[in-house]
Amino acid sequence: MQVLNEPSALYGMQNATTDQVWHNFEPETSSIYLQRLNVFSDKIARLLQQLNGFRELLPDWDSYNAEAPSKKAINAAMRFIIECHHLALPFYFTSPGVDGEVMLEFQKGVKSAELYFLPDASTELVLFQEDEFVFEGRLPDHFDKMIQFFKD
Amino acid sequence: MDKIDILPGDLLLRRVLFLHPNFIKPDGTPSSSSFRPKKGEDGLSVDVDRLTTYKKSIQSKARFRLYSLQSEFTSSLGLENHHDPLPDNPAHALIKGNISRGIAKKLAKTAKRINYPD
Repeated sequence: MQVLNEPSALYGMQNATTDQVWHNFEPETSSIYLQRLNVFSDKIARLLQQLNGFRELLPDWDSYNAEAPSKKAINAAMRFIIECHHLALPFYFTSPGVDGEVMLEFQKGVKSAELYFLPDASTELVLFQEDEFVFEGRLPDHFDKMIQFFKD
Repeated sequence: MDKIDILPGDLLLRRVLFLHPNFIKPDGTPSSSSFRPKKGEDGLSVDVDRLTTYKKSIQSKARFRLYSLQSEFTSSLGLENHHDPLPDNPAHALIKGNISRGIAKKLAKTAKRINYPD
């Protein structure tokens, strides 16, 4: 229970696994529990399917010499979705980047966020309002800020 | 081919994947990932519209769609447009400058879909 009530603390644990999260979770007592954890919405299932499909991309998949998506980045993005799909985050889109990174995009009204999972296992979080840059930082340090951004 | 000046009014074409994976979002705009140059590259590759054809620029109608940017828009973001002809692509140009995540999002949001082949 403690784990899901403090998601930013969880995400900072580099070795945390999905099993650890689910093992400790007690849905009846969580204040942020939104839906059954063992059921993915169609949107979430589609994002996971798309991410998994990125494994098949070869170098130059975009015709502009892009790197093949990093398996480490794909796994990190999938793990993030699996661990956080039940939180109040407006998951929207996913795409690979030219340097092997994977991007998850969130959108709610005029607010949007781009969360990058890089091949070196680091992350970049960029927040936008009306397509104007608002904030950039690392996810482990600013996960709370991201959630609050979409709640306000 | 000699280099030309890219003028206000010139359109700059960029290929965007729309199948495997689809870079075009449900609202019709392309992902900002399509408008970021690779690390170490000198700029964002585009084709100058008046020096090519859609058929040549798109390379594969099955995989890509074309989006256009107005040269004066990229200039307004502090970027520079440079003709950079290649042996197999005389229309090639580079958009140079600091294409940050924020700038890439503006490019993606502003790019106009070319109605080719449909």
